[in-house]
Amino acid sequence: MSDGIGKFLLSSLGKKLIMGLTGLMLVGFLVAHLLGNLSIYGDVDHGTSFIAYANKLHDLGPLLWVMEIGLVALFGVHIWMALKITAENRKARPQGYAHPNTFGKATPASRSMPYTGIAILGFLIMHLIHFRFMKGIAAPGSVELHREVISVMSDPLWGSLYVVLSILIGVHLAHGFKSAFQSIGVNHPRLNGLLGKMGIALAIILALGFASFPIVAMFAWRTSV
Amino acid sequence: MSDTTFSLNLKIWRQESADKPGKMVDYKIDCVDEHMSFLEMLDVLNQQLIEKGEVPVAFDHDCREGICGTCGCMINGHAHGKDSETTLCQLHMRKFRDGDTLYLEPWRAKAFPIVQDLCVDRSAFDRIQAAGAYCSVHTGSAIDGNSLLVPKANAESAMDAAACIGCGACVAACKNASAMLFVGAKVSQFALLPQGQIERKERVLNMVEQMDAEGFGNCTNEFECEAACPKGISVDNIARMNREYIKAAATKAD
Amino acid sequence: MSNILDSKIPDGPLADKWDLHKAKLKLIAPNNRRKFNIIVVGSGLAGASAAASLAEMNYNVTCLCVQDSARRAHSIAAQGGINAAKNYPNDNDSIFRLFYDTIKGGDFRGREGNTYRLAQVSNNIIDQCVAQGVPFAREYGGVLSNRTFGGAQVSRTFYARGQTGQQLLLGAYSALMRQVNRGKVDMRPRREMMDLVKVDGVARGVVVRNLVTGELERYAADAVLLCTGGYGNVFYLSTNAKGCNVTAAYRCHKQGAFMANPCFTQIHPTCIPVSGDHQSKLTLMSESLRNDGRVWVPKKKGDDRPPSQIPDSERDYYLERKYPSFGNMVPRDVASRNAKVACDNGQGVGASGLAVYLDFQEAIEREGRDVIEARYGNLFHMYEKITAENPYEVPMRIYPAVHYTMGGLWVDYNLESTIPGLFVLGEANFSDHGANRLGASALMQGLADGYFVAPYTVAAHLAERALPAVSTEDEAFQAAEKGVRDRISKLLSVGGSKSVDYFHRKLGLTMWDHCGMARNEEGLKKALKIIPELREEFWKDVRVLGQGGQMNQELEKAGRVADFLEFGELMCRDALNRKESAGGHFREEYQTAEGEAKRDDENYRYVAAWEFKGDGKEPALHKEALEFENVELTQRSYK
Repeated sequence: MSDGIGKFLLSSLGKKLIMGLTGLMLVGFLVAHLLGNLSIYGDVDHGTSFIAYANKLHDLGPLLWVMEIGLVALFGVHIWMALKITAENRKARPQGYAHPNTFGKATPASRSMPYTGIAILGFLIMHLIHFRFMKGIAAPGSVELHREVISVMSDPLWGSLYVVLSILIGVHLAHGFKSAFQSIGVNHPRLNGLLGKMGIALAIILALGFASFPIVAMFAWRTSV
Repeated sequence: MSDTTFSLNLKIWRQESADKPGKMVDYKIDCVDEHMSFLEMLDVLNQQLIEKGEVPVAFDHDCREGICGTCGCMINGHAHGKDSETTLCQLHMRKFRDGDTLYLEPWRAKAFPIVQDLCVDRSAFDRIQAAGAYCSVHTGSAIDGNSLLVPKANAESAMDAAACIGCGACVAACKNASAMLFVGAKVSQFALLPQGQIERKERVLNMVEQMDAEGFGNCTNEFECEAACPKGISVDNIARMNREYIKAAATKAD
Repeated sequence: MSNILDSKIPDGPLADKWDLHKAKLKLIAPNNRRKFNIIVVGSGLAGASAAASLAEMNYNVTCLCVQDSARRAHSIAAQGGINAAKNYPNDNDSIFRLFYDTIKGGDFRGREGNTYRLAQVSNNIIDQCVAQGVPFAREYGGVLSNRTFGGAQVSRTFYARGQTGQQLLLGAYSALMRQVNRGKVDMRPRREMMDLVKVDGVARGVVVRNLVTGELERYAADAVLLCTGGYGNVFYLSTNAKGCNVTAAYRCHKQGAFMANPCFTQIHPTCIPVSGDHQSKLTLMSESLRNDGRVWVPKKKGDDRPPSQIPDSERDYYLERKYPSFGNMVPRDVASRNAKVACDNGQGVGASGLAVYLDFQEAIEREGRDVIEARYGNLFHMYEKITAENPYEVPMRIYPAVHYTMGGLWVDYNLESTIPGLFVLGEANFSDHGANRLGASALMQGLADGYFVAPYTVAAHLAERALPAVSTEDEAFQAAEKGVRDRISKLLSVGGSKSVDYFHRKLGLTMWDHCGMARNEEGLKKALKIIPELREEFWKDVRVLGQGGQMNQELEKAGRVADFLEFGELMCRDALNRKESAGGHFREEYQTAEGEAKRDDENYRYVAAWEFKGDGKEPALHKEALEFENVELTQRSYK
């Protein structure tokens, strides 16, 4: 091919494709992450099931590293593309309208993608500082992680923030999921309705699922620990 | 027929030429008849301005029956006004109420520079068309029309896409000033027909390249374009273009 | 009869004329074509197809249009379809039958040779357009679909929903843009042709105004193709786009191109009635609607009951009553005139009394709403947008409106005007439709001229005449530009009190009243008095604000209206001269006992070609006799 693949990937449609694909993969990660985290409900007091889940991850050894690097790359590319697209889009209309834009088919979720995106990026950093780079996390089978989770989540301030950000993830997905399929060209009259519904369902499930930890922690676990 | 007249407050973008600054200017117009089209209301305003010795408002228009795609401006943030599947010339004043304040602004996009007042330069669309929206068939070299069978469903979908009038409302309504609906519709028309197969890959690659070079924004799938399109062109055409592009980029060998 | 007018119709049997003629036309070798420059003015069906075809052949083409894009020429608004003698539906259609219908529909005032050629190439047009990817309607088996159309007893009309003109134009536009991409067409939108430049009597260029910057530009060439459409806007209210005008053609007329049959204008029967004084243009509803809609008025004069409350027995389905074999499908001129008769008789409906009903009730009951919606959905939608009435429930109200002009610059068989090197294509010429054009034939003619006629005949002009090189610095160009500049300054400096539209409306009303659907000597003479007075007032009292050196839409309009004010007079003069009724030209003095148009074949079987003799001077009439060797002149009957 005389034109490098990079040219296609960095065209307007290439960027969409990348956004869509990385977005869908990140959705996959979120689902796995939620399923893993659900293990915390197995044994709240001692965290045995949660620690067992963490140990299993550690047992993956180098594979875990690969997964983590892959995840960082996914996030990195998704964020890079988002920033690039947003910057280009701003440039495409140097002068805005005097009358505010109105909504035809856009939704609050679609309009807020860059903002929910940035909020989620902030959340990600916070989340990593809390649980990925905390002291003692390296020790396999450590109960520290479990304790730390309970303590952060049950803290009214942090807990509330986690609830809000879980909801923002849902909002981001409410547009992002279906949008990703459109971007990669998956679109069919018989499929579109289903994809839309799946996107909303997934957004609600993930938002509620992630929000459930701080909510339960703040109201039920706070006293029990 | 004058018992149904009313007045409007208009705020209109006035700009003498591309290189001069513009601003919103207030006008008040009485005697708006509910049977008037929006452009006829502007005609009346211009007559009043001429009588007062003021330079009338420039706006592009031609067929005034919704097919040439010449007219169009934003009315209170809606491309061609709020009504669905309507061009500015087909919008009638019965849709407005006495005392309404209307902001009239030109299509705004880097790729659509302003020519004067509400007129913009949409030649970017022509250049995208020139980049590949055709079948390379010489005059006189065509085979019999019926030797090429087209499934009715494909012909209908191609026609749905081909209904585009090139007005630019999709770009104006898109928060990213993206031209995906216009280009998607054109790519789809040919992708759906047997005539379009030979140049299928080059077409989508070249048209997208030209679209990007013109400075249109990226699509973020909010479908404002579809909502604004006076011909109701579906965003399914954008998805089809995405597919076409991915396939072409992945498999085109040259 | 004048011998100035040599129609150059080739000898030989009708069916062989075009082939014999082509065989004799001189050629330009492929390598030499790039040495020739051709200007195409207009980018509608005729202009875009000619520009694309000539560029494909390797000529250097400059294409100019007033619109902001070549894709917006008014051909785009044609709705119903395009005829071709393919005989796909097996209903015994043929080239001869299409030719015969067209010549008869034109009330025997067209040229046999041209019209036959039109029918011959009609089939190539369909093939060409299909190959370009025009999404014509299809049957379930994948073959092209046909429908019947006004004035025909066979299904020969190809269509793309109600947007056939749009799709054909976009096809031609795509071919044009392909040549732009190849660098063979220099496409210049937002340019208005202000004058033709002749060198040694041959058309060698144009002076145009750049509508964005206001600058005057000169273009030199070896041939100029005028594809600038019709002059229906002389009536102010018409179905033409607002930008349609006679200026380019009229400027050529003043330079020596004869204007032929300007009084032949077509009034389309199915338009949306006028709603008030603000009206700026009229909207056509495709006459395909008459395939299923029934035209009627109340039998009782001034019956103002809602249509649903008027029982069938009190309705006058006048077309079905008067013309049992064609019924609602009679040609346009007949349908229009009968609507006028009904309204003049006090049976008109609606607030103004200037409308008749077009009723789909029976069709909906017979075929089902779905079928009607599939056929006419977009038209019904358009009607509802404009009138706020739902035609599925209430009958449409329609009234005739000016739609098409059969007259135009005189051309010979090569489409060349009386100025050598100036070719006129499409609606701008006069040649193929006689006194009335059948539905779905305008698209056919525009594309026939552009794709299949001009490319051959223009080459012959280039090959036969050894043209010296010209430069845009030549005196002729400078003089032409000065003339244009002076005229623009004059328009800007009048500084009167009335807008351009004021004069245009007044002219339009005069034309409609006296040179519209029905004409008579008294009215035409009156118009010939009013128009010069109005013209004088225009040049004394028009107010054109703004400057010439920038975009100025009022100035554009002013120039066009100034030409209409001269051209309208010529139309009336032509209408006055033609003391017969033929097609779209209905002289009240000349009608049958039943009120049908009555031709006078003995005295008026000719093309009236007018020569400009100077401002303020009477134009000279030249007559080209029309010979009919293959059809028998009959009184048209659609009963």
